[in-house]
Amino acid sequence: MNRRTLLRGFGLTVLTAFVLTMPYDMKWAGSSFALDYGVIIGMVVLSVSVLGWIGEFTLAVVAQMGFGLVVVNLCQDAGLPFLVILPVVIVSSIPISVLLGVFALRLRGVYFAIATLAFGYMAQKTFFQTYLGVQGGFGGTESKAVSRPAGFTGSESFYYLLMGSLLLMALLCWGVSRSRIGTSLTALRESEAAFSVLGHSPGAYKILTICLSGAIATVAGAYFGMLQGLVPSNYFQPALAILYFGFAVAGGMGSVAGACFAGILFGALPKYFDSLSEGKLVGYDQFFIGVVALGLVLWAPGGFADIGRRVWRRLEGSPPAAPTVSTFEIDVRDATAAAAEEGLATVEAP
Amino acid sequence: MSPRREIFSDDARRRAARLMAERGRMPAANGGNGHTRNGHGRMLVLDRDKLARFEPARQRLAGQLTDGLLPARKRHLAKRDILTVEDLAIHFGGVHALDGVNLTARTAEIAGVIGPNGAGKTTFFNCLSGLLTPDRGQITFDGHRLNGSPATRGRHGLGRTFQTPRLFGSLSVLQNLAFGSRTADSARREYVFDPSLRRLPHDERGARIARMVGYRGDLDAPAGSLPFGDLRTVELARALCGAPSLLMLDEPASGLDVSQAEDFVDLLRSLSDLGLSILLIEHDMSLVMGICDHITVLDFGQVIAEGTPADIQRNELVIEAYLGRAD
Repeated sequence: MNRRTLLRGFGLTVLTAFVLTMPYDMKWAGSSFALDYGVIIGMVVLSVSVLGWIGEFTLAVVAQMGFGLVVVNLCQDAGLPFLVILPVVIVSSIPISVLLGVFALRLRGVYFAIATLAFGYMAQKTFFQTYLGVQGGFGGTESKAVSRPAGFTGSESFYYLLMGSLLLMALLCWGVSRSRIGTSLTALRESEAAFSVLGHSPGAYKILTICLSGAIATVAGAYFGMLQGLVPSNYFQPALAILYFGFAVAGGMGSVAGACFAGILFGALPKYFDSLSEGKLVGYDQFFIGVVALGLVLWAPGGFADIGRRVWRRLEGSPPAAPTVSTFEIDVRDATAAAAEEGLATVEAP
Repeated sequence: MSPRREIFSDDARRRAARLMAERGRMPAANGGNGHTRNGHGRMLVLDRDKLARFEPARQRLAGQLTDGLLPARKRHLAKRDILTVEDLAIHFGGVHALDGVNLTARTAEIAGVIGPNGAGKTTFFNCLSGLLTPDRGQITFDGHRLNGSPATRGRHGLGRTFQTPRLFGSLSVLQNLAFGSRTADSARREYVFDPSLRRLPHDERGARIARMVGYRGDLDAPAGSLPFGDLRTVELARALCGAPSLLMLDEPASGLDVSQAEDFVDLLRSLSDLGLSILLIEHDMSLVMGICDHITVLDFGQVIAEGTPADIQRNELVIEAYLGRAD
C-alpha cells in the first residue's frame, strides 16, 4: 500500500468521524442549530457554485429557496409524507429554472446575474410578501409553521438528515462534473463559440446546469423552512444572494467540496461566535466573513478548494500543479466585439 | 469615391504597405524579390522563394499522401457547388462589415478569401457558421438553405477553425478531438477524406487524425499547455474529427514555421483531392496563391475581385487594395 492510498484512507476516516460526531464535538460552542444552519447554507453555496461550471453566477438562489419553502408548506398542508415531499420540491424547481435558463440563453456574465437579481426582487416584492407576510405566516392570515419530518425533530437528528442530503447532492454534482457532461460543461465554459460550431448545443447544457443548481437551492429552501418553522418574507431579500455568491467564490467557484466547506464554515461559525460571546458579537458575523473573504482573495484566489489541493499535494509529496488556463472570450453575439476582432473598431475617421 | 478613400488617405495606405513589407507578408512594390510588371502596369508581387518551397509539396501529392495516413489513391470526383452565398450583408453600427457578398465554393476544391485587415473576412466566416446573423442574404450549403444555430450548422457538416485557436485549454488533446468525433457519430456523418475513420473508436480516430495533420506531441497533454503551432494543428484536427463537408480555416498557417507550413500545404491539397471542400482565409499570399483553386478578394466588406490565383495577381483593384494608389 503506497503513501497516497494510506493518506486517502486516513483522510476519509478522519473526515467521516468528524462529520458523524460534529454536533456533539461542537456542543461546547453552542447549540446544533448553528451547525444545521451551516449545512443548509452549504447547500445554497453549492447551488451557486455549480453555475460556475458554465461560467455564470446567479443571484436568484434566495428566491428559489423561497419557492422551496412555499412548496414544502403546501405539501405538508396536503398531508404528504416527507419522502414524497422531497421529489415534489425538486420537480417544482424545474419551471423556475427553465425560466432562468431562458435568460441564460440570451445573456451572459454580469447581465445574466442582473437578470436573476431582478427576478429575485420581483419574487420577493410580490409572491413572498403576499404569501409569507412579515411574520412568515403562510397564506398571509394564519401562522402555519413548517414542521420537521418525523424522527428528525431534534437539532442533532436533523443535522444527520441535512448532512446526508448535502453529501448526496455533493456526490451527484461530483459525478456530473466527472462525467462526459462535465467535460462538455468545461468545454462550453472555455469557448462557447468553439463548442457550438463543433455541433454541440450550449443551450441544452446551460439549462441542465441551471436546473441542477435550482433543484439544490429549492431543496435547501425547503430544509430552511423545516429548520426555522416560520420564515418572514424579509429573509428572502435578493441581496442575500450576493453574500452567498461571495461564499461560493471563497470556496472556489465550481468546486463541490469547496462550496460545501465554505457554506458550512460561513454559515455555522458566526452563530457559534454569537453563542460563545453570549450575544455580544451579534452583528459581527458579516465582519468576520469579510475578513476571511478578503484574506482568501489576497492569499488564495482559488478559494478553499485551491488551499485544499495545495495542502493535499504537499501531504502526498506531489509536485505543484501546473498553472491553470483561464480563458476570457469575446461574446460572439456582440456585434461590436466581432467588429473589433475584424479590426473594424480601429478604423479612424478623418 | 470609394468608402475606403473616405477613411484612409493614400499616404496611410502606403505606410500600411511598407509595414506589411517589413513584416515579410508581402515585398514592397518597388524592389521586392520577384517583382514584375505586366502590360497594364503593376502586378501583385509574391515571394518566389516561398512559392518554390511549396511547389515540391504539390508535386509529391500523387503518390505520397501523408505517409499512408490518408488513402493513397486520389479520387476522381464530379465537382459541384457545395456552398453558394448570395448578397450577404451585415453591419455593425455605421460600419458595413459585409455588403452584398457573393461566393461559390465547389467540392474537392480550395477556395481562398483574402483581403486587407478589416475587409470582413472573419465576419464572413462568422456569418457562415452562424455566430453572427446577417442582415440579408442567402446561404445554400450542400443543396439546402443554411440557417439555424452554429451547432445545427456544425452537425450539417460545416467545420471551422478560428483566427486565434480556441481549444478547450484544460481538457486533453484527445478530449478536444472527441468533441468532433461525437458530433460526427451522432449526426451520422461520413468522413469524405477517409470513410474508414467512421468505424474507429473516438480515441483511435482522434489519434489518427491528429497524426495525419502533423501533431506529434502527447495526446494526453492539456491543450492549454501546447505551443502555438500545435494549437493550430490540433484545432484543425478537431475540426476534421467532426467529419465536415466544408472546412473553413481562418488564417491556419499563421504561427507555423516553414516546415509546418510546407506540411500544411501538402495536407490541405491531399484533403481537397480526396473530396473535402476547403474555404481558406490566409494572409500569406504565397500560400494562398500556391494552393487555392479559386480566390475571392474582399475589401471593406465588398467583393472586389474573384478568379484564379493568376487572375487575382494581375487585378488592378486587388493591387490597389493591398498597396494603395501610387499617386
